Amino acid sequence: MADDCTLRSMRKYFLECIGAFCLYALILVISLLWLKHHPAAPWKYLIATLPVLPALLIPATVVRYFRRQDELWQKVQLEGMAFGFMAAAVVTTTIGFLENAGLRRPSWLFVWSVMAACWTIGLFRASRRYR
Amino acid sequence: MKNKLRELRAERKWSQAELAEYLKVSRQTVNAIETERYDPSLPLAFKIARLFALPIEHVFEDGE
Repeated sequence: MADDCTLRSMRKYFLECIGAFCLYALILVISLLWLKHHPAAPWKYLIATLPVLPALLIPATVVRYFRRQDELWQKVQLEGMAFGFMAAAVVTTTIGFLENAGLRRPSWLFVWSVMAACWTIGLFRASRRYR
Repeated sequence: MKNKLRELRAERKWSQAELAEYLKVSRQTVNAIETERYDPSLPLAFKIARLFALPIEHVFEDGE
């Protein structure tokens, strides 16, 4: 799906994503620095969750990207997400079972990478079907 | 679902990219419809039929 229209749309998506990530990183750094200097402030929980606000721009960006696509690419994305969602559920549940056998619990950030990897695989599989 | 999109496009000497441009979809979508890997939505099917000035059943047939 690499015609001009799709490439333009992807470029816009990546630019919006980069913007959202930069804003997120900026607020995160400010929040962490503030918390370091004011560890006992009464509103520390509010400051700690401030990065959530720019993080909300990321799902909004994904939805905008999705809506800009034509119907076939929306179907491909949906199939990719369906696969990614369920595959990530299987992987994280498997890790849960391994914890029963003594595996150390991985960081919560690990779930993000599993989701991203599964979504990418799902997208690749789905796009091959209609090539 | 079977369709005559490739023949109709060839009659007009349009490329897949040109047809995609007229229909406001990706070239890949045109290709997937032509190769019958993807059945378009009803609005897109009507748009295709309108573009070729044909009744929808002359462009698409369900094989029954």
